[in-house]
Parts: sequence; structure tokens; C-alpha cells
Amino acid sequence: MHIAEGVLSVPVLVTGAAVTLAGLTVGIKRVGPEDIPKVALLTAAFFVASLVHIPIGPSNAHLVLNGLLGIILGWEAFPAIFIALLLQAVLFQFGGLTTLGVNTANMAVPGVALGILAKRFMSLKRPALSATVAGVFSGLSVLGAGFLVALSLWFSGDSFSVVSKIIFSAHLPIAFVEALLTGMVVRFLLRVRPEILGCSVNFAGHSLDGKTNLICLVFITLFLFLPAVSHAHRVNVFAWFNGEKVVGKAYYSNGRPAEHAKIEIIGTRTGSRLSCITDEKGGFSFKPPGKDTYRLILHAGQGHRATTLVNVKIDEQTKNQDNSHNKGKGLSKLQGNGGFSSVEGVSKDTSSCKDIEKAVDKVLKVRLQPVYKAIEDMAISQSRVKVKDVVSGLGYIIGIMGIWAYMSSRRKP
Amino acid sequence: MTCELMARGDSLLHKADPRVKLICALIISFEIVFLRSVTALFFALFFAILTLLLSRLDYKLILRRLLVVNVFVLFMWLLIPWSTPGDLVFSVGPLSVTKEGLSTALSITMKCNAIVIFNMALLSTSTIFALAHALDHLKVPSVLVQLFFFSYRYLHVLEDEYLRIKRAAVVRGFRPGTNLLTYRTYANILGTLFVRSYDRGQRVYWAMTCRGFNGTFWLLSHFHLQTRDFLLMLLMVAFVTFLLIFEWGTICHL
Amino acid sequence: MGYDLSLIELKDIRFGYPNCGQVLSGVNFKVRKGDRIALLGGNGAGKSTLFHIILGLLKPNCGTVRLFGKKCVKESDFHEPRTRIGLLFQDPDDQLFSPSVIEDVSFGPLNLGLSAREALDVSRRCLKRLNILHLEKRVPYELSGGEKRLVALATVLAMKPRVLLLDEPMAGLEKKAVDRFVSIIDETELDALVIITHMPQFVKGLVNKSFLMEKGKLREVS
Repeated sequence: MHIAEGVLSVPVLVTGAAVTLAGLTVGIKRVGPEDIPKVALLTAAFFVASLVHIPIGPSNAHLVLNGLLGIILGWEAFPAIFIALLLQAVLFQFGGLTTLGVNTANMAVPGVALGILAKRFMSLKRPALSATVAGVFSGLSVLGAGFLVALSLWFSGDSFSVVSKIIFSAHLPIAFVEALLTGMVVRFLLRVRPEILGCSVNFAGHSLDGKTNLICLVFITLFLFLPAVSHAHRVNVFAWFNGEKVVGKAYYSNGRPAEHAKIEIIGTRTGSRLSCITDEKGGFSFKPPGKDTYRLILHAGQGHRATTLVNVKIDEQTKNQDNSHNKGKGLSKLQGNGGFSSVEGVSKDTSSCKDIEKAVDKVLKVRLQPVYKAIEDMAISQSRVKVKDVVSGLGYIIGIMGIWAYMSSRRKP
Repeated sequence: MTCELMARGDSLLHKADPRVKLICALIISFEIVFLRSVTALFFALFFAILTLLLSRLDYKLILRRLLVVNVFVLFMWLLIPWSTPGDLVFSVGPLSVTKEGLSTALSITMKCNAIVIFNMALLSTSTIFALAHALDHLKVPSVLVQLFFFSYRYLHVLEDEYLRIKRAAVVRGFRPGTNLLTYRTYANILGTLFVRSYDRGQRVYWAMTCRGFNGTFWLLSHFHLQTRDFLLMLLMVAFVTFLLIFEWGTICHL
Repeated sequence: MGYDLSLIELKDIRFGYPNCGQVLSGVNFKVRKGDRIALLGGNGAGKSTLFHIILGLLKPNCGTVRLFGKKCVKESDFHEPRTRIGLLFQDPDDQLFSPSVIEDVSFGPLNLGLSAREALDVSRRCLKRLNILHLEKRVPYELSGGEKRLVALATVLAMKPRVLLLDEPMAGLEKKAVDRFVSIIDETELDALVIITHMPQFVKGLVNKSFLMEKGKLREVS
């Protein structure tokens, strides 16, 4: 469940910390002096319970319990999870200070949202239904947590595409076991001590002032923009060789040019190094020192980078350049070129016209190759964005469910 | 549960003011997260180990904790080198290992270890109560500090309670396996644990109100910064500055 | 006999927990100055519940609670009497939550509005009287069962209560520890004392009255 230190990118860490801060503010407001021992004891109980290893087939897993925590404590689950993670960081070095925000948000956001939502469908009169609902929703909150963990990794860099998928799939069996177990625990609590489950209904009775409402709103909005914010920071760069210079453009995925960004140029064969800075429109150009394949690395700040390769074939390109320079002068040179031998015998004017066309065609083909490639690359990256859109769409749905749950939990008392 | 093992000792770091240690740990962790240059990361790791040596902790304990952390790092090494797009270095079957992948994995390894080592040296050398005390002095909301403190206070009580309930199940022949009975038993054990902790929370609150508690927690002792705290601060400022210089130096050279 | 002599007066108290029916069904209980009462009764008879009702921790379904002659209904009515009535909980772990013994003992005095120095002073004197000053710096949850009970008693006595309610103070203690406990209570200057106990033989010298709780009612026994 935890993401270790030093893995996530800074924007993801900051977003997570902001979400957690907002959630903590709301959660803390709801803890009166009389609730402190109760919330603390339940936090400790969850800490102990999450160390319990439940066998699943040949392996075992420890419980996450963010769903049950959300059901029992509501918004107060935010401080509870935060405290539990802080204790783990200090006592066992699981996670640490920089990831505290992200890890708390990943667990608490689905837990609180789905917990409050589950509460809507639970009643003392129908224990079987309540237990089932609690089970299903806590399974979903484990999935939600897994999904947010995967998302945090996904937005931290291209390296984590596979890792995030594996981590998300690892949550599937855990979610199943957790759903089963939470359902049974809720059944137990309904029979033995229903007021534990009822406590956050009472807590919801604390009417919130306008300020808290505003904070809730900010928090939920932040959560909704989590994918969007990270998106804005993705950068693209593409470049081509125009015969004498390598020119290109750097821009963010929302179309904004990446201005004054540093570009590092490394010759893959010769190992030569250069650098340049983009202008206000994100454009840049440099003169390559020789024939090589150059790797361009764009540093757009905050650890965001993009790379592209540019093939510079000085010899061939200069020959083509010669051709184009000479094309008006006469045909002798062109006709001398082996490739055009077939045009012999055709009248001079038309042949020269066609030859010029063909020559231009050929030159264009060579020149346009990188552009085609760039378009292709863009198409690929576009399709990747689409996958992410689907993924973030799911995030939006969870967020909207959270808002709805929050509003309805307020209306109830 | 073996808790606060690292808080025992009387080194400079054990005696230092927890407020200073907390702030230093926070700043240096975030700085390491920001670092990109391998040289700077190498030095971060080096400084971390230096600080850890100052704490004079038991090396066996340290290695055991680092082992756990590096299981995760190993998991990253198994996946990241071939799943990162970039320059091909070599390929194993269908998997092509890239330069970017290797450097990402390397940077994760160094960052993760450096931060964990700093955390061990700076945070885990304080008791939880000292940290709660420090958090209170650093103006962290009092509710949060009280929650932190109470949760830890009753962690052991509840763990004992859990173990007692579980022992009671085990002596009656409970053997965990992948079946419904196991899950139901665990559910009942956990349910009992929650009920008992809920009731205890209630009683603790009562005991507090009987002694006149009204939301304010009075502190008896206060911290006083001493020479060793300033020394520690100086050392950490030096580390932070060096790392910044290394980072800028390498990035500007490119 | 006027109200002025009754320190605690319960009249027709009825109370039930949600799932287990009536625990107290019409309890009348009076504690006068100089009373030293042993409260006997089986497990789950409602003795602890009675204590919790006296201090307003639980609210009775019906009946009245008068403390020091004043009728107490609201939570705020109980604030002042709580500083004069000390309650020792059955489980010392409920009562001890501070990081060190001295901080735990001074928690009450600080809440009474004493300055840190005065509170420390009072607490140290209290620990010394119980002969456990050497535990001052220790962490409460690492103490032995007997030590925990003494520290818990110290936290109550540090508030200088006039009335002391003890909930099974001797449970799980060895003979020697019980004797020590009894002698401490005996030496403490009090207006009244109520002890819940399963071991009436140990507190014989301590009490001058005995009550038996049975079937939700309270009656005096000899």
C-alpha cells in the first residue's frame, strides 16, 4: 500500500500533500475533545489490525481497512490514517515524511468517500443488507486506493507504466478478501455494538460552518484536478534537421509552449554534448557539429523531461542541398545522375519540369521524413493520453461520488 | 511488537532536541526527492550514512530495516529497466533494457535508501512521546498531536488484547487457512478488538473528565536548545548546501 | 436529617444499556460524612455503572443525582463535584495515559488550574506519600500491575478529593500489595469512601457499612 520514499515525482508529492492537508483540516474540525480518545483508540486498533496477515491461497496479505475506517469514522478517518502512517514511518520506516501526504490521500480519499456513501445504505433493521453493502464498498475502497497508488506512479514518469499496472492488479485479491472480511466485521458490530457504526452518524450531527464547507469544496476540487494538474506538466519535444540546422519546438501537452526550457543535446555515436534554451514560443535551433544521431533532452523544470532523436546525415543532406541549389541552372548535372537516366529522350522543357518535380519530391521525402515521424509520435502519445483520460475519468466518478456522499451525509441530520 | 528500538541510546542524535531533528529530517528528505544528479545523490547517501554513524545504532537492526526497504527497491529493479522508454543498452529475450530505465532505477535506489537512513538517524532516535511533544511545540494542531500521542499510548495495550484474543482462538484449535471459517474467525477477532478499543476509548475519556480535562493538554517540561542542537543544525545545513552545490554543478555542466 | 450532611444522594435511579435490559431499577443510595462503605455484588450487577452515574459519565433514564446537596443534571453541573470526588477505575490502563508517571499524576492538578511548579510539587508529595517516588520518570504502561494501581491511586489522590470511589482496587493484587493499599487508604484524610470489592474480608477494617447490589436494587447488609 505504501509508496516508498524517493520514487514519486515532486508534483505528485505536492498534490498528495495538498489533498491530505485539506482532508486533515476537515477531519480535525470534526474531532471534539470527547472524541479524541475514541478516535485514537480506533486508530490504534486499525494499526494493530493492519498488521494481521490473512492467508490468501499460498501467500498472505495484510488488511488495508480504509473502507471500514471510513464507515466507522467518516471524515475523521483522514487524521486516523495520517497518524497510523506517521507511526509506521517512525517506528518501522515504512514510508516517510515526503510520501506521507500521498500515501494518506491514496488510502483516505476512497475510504472516506465510499465509507460515507456506504453509510447511506446501512441500517440497523437490515443487518444482512448492511453487511453486504459495507463489504462491497470496502472492497471498492481498497481498489480505489490501489488505483490511486497506480495513478501516483503513472504520473511520476514513463518508467512506472508497468509497475503501476502490476501494483493495481495486486490489489484485486486483497480487495476481495477485504470485502469478505469487512462484511463479517460489520455484521459482528451490528450484533454486538451497533453504536460503533452509528458514531459517525452522530458526528455528522455536528453542523458545519461555512468555512469548513469551503474547505471541503476546495479539497474535493483538488482531488478532481489531481489528474489534470499532472497532465498539464507533461511535455513534448520534436525536432528535425533542415539541412544546416536542427530546429524544433517544445510544448506542454495542453499546447502551451515550454518557454526558456533547457535542451540538452547528446550525440549518441560521438558523445558530443551541446545545450540550448527555448525561446518564448518554445522554439529552438542549433547547428550540429557533424553527422550523427542526436538525442535531445528537454528539461522543463520540476523534473519533467521529454526526449526525441534527430538523425543528421550531413553528407546526403548537403548533396540534396547542392541539387536544390543547382536546379535552376541546368540539367546537365541532374541528367548525369544515374537515377534519372530513364527521362532521356523526352523533350527538354517537359523533361526538365518533370525532373524538377521528381527531384523536389525526393528532397521533400527526405526532408519530411522526420516530420512524418514526429506526427506519428504525436499520434502515439495522443492515444496514450486517451488511456489516461479513461483512467482519470474513473477518478472523476469517484470524486463526484464523494461530493454526493458528503452532501447527503450533511442533509441527513 | 518491537517498537522504539532505535530510540534507545545516548548518542548525540538521541540527546538532540526532537524539534531540530524533525525539521532537519523534513528539509533533507524533501531536498533528496528534488535531486536529479547522480553525483549529488551519491553524496546524499554518503551524508546519510555519516549521520547514521553519529547515532551509533545497532548495525544489525539497521540492516534488518534496510533489507525490508530494499525488497521494494528490488521489485523496482525487476520492472523499471525494461519498461522505461529510451536508448537501448542490451536486450534479454523480448525485453529491452534502456539507459533511462537503469538510471531511474539507480536514482530510486539511492533516494530511497538515503531518505530511510536519514529518517532512522533523525526520527527513529526519538521516542514517540518526544516527537509528539515536539510537534506540539511546532504548532501542529493540538487535536492531531493528541491523537498521535494517544494512538501510540494504547498501541501496546491493544496489541496485547489482540494477541490474547487470538491466543484464545488458537488454544481452541484455530488454524488459519484460505477458507470461510478462517475469515469469519478473523472477522470476529477484529470485531472484538474494535469493540474493546471503542469501550476503552470511552473509559479513558471518562477517566480524563473525572480529573478535570477540558480539551487542553498541559505540558510540564519544555525544550531548551543546547550547543549540541546548534551543532546538529550546522551539520545539516552544511549537508543541504553541499547537496545543492553538487546538484547545480552537475546540471550546469551539461 | 438535612441535605447538608449528604455528600452523595441518588434517588430512584433507573438505568439500562441498549442491548441488555435494565441494570439499575430504582436505586436509592446516600453517602454521608464519615461513611465508609463497601459495595458488594456479583459480576455485572451494576456497581461500576452506579459510580459512572454518580459522576455524570452515564446519564440515568430516570431518577435524580444530588452531589453536595446540589441537584446535577447537565454535564456542566458535574464539573465542580468531579474535582471533589475521586474515582479510581477498575483498569489502571484506562487511567494512565501520559508518557511519564509524574506527568500523569500532575494531569489532574494542572486541570485544577495549578501552575506547573505547584502541580509538580503536589504530585511529588503524593508519590512520596505512597512510597513510589522512584517511579516518577518511568513510562506508565511499562509498570507492573501493582505499580500501575498505586500510580493510578496517586493520580486520584493528587487532586485531594473529599470523597473517594474505588472500583475493585484490589483485584489481581497479592496479599502484601493489598495490605499496603488498605493502609494507604486508611491514612488518607477523607469525608467518605465507597469501595466496590469482591473481597470483603480485606476491607473489614476500612469500612463501617456494607451494601449489596442485587437484581438492580441496593440494600444494606451487615
